[in-house]
Amino acid sequence: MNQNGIVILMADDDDDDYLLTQKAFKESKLLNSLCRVKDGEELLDYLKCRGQWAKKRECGRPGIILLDLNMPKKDGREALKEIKSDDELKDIPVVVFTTSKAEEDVYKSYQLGVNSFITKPVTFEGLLQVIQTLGKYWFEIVELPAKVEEPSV
Amino acid sequence: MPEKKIKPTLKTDPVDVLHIDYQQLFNSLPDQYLAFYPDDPDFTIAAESQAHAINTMVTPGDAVGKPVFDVFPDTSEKHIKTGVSDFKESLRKVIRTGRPDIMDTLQYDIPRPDGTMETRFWQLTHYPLFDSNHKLELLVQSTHDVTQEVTAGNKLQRAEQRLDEALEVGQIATWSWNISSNKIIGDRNLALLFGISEKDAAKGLPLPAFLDAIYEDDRDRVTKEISDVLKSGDRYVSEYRTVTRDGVIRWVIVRGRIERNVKGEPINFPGALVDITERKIVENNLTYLAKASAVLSESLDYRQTLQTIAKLMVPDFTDWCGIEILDENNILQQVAVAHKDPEKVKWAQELRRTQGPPNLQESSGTANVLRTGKPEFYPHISDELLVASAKDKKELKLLRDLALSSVIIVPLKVNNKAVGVISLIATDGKRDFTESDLEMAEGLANRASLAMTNAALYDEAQRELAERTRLEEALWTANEELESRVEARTSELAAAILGLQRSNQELQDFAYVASHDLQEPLRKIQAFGNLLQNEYNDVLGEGSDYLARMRNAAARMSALIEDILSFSQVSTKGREFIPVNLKTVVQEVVSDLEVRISDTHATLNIIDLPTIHADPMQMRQLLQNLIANGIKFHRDDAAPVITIRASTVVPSNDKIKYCRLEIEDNGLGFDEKYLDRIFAVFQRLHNRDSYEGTGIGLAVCRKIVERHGGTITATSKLGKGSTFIIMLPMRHKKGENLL
Repeated sequence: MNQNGIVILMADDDDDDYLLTQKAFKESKLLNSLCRVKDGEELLDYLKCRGQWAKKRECGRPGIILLDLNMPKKDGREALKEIKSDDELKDIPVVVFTTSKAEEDVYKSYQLGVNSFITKPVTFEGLLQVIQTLGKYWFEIVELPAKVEEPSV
Repeated sequence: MPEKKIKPTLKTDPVDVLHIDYQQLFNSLPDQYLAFYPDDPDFTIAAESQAHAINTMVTPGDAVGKPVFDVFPDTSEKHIKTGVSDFKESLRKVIRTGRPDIMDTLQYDIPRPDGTMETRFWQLTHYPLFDSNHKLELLVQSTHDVTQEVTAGNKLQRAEQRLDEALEVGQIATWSWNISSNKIIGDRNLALLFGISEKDAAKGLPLPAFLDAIYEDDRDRVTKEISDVLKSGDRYVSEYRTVTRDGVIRWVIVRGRIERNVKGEPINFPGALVDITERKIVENNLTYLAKASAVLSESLDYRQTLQTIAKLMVPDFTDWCGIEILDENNILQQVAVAHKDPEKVKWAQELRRTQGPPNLQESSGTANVLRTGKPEFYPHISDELLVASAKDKKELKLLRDLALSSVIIVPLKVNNKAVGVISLIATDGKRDFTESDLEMAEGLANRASLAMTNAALYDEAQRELAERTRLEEALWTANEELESRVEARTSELAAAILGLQRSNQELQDFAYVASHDLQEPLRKIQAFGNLLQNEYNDVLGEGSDYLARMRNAAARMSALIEDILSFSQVSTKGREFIPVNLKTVVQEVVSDLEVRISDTHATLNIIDLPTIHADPMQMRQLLQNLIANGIKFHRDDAAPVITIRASTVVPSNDKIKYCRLEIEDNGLGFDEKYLDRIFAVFQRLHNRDSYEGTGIGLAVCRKIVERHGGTITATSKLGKGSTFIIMLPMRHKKGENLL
């Protein structure tokens, strides 16, 4: 948990990428609660407290979503669309975190209301830098909307 | 005047005792006498009677004793021309013969007192006077002046002559019809016109005799006219034709007057008629021409028209009318033949069929007219002419049977070339064609020729029109066909383009996804390799080296994949050509390469670059590659200096304007034998360790340049530097960059 207690929810199907990212977060000393879902379906289920998270969410409502675009079942683009068109969810900042550099992805993501678009660096050093900057930006510089109470079951 | 007494020189003088004064006797005779001495060649006047002197305007006594020609010179033409005087000859004859001579009435002009000559006519008788010995003693002239009678007679004669002339010239005939005695008395002209003898005409004949002479077509009408006017009317005017004894038809205009008694019964019917044949011919000819013109202008079917015209000519103008035209094989075909009698027409057609067309080599007739283009005119054909022109007895018989008496042959011309003839033939001497008729025939031929020319031209025009219509239609059809083929082609092409675009897109997507998916494991290798290196370096030992090579390999693969993607994207991700300011592009590249430029202390000289039609992204890529190369391959001993210049070029075999770009560096240079290699994909002139890069840069440049319809090449000197030369069209046509 970071100082603010903000949860970062990462949606990524790639275990390796998740491992690296975790490592980067750790090395950046951003001891946020980094939660993970594996695809777009899980993401929406988690956010809407559906499916396996119907009863309880370990990490609670996320303060930021790190969204990979290319995922099975439901990809990031679709998930993004749903999140940003959902009144209850649209206030959660979404940062697309993808290997894709495609301009079209960038354009479409911003069109859908993404808050930022970051291309995953190739090297670990690069990844580390990004995570550090990410932490500084979103947790120190930027004001995030107030935490909403967990709906009681 | 001394009186010379005549003394009779009689040898014996029985009447001596009378002592008659002959002079006195002579003088007192009431008639006119002259006496001459016979043995005097000058015929001196011996004596004259007083009456004579008075009549001849001579003072009595003056003439006596003078030679006769002194007093009365012979001024007759004969005497003046030949010196012979009939007067003196008569006297000499009396001397010779001893008998009296009676002279015919002669004109012997005599001088007036003022010297002028007066015309006189005399009847002279000369007597011999013998003495008792029968010797000629005197010539006595008994003078009878008949001047008055003669002049009066001449006047009458002349008047009569004039009347006759008038009657003849005006061809006036007169008649007088005594209705009660039913006798029509006519003059000579009337007799001629009605084919009766002068004698009968003078005696007088009843009406039927004259009616018979009227041309059969007019007879009934005239008969009725006469009976009508007799019943009620006082003036008679009419026009009709008569047939003379020779069978010649004459046109006459007739005027008469009815004289009636108190009861209103017609008593006398005098009148006159004038032969107006010539005028009528001219009138009729004009009418024929007018009718012919009308017929000719009605239809373009000239065959039918010519037949109509031939029929128009008979029977009034002529007995036979034939029209012949040359066909395509130059054979004279009978197009029309007309005669009042249909049987004769059939006969003529049959004759033509059996005899065949005339020989065009003949020296006269139709052949001649066709050859010379001039008409032939035989106003009156005598039997001799028939005999002369007939080839054989058979033909002579034929000609005689035909009884042709007057012929006109006129040519029909199309485009000034004789293509046929119109023949007009009168038979049985009914009438002889005149100059006026020839004129009419020529006028007819001209109009017919014109009509035929028009018809020919019309036919030609029609044919041409039909041909043109056909061609137009063919063209139209061909055009339509072409259009539909073009349409089909266009849709094919459009479909092909669509297909290609789709496949392009697919390829693009594939390439992108492929490279993306290929990159992903490489990233993992690199990333974990990195971590491994960082976290376990101390325990790796040599393994560190292996790890480094692995990471290197992965990195290289990643670069290759990127380059492949980039290379493929030159065409798949190519954009529309728009005006691109090359100077701006270079400046952007320079700012992108800022780090490298400052690291190598590179200098860039940009000399005026133009704006061209191009894909902006690709121009960026192109220039970036080239400039980066220039910086990369620098010499150790010299900081890179890169000059970029441009010029406009129009190659001789091309009409397009090109922008010629030169990127010159002072770097390593290369052996020009490797020129083709350097532009090939993944080809390098240095090994991996010397210079980074996959060797795709120039290949991409070439692909970009080719996409723009241009060329790229280079010149170089090893160790000195290289110049890359690019030709790019300044402008492109729309749609050139669809792919």
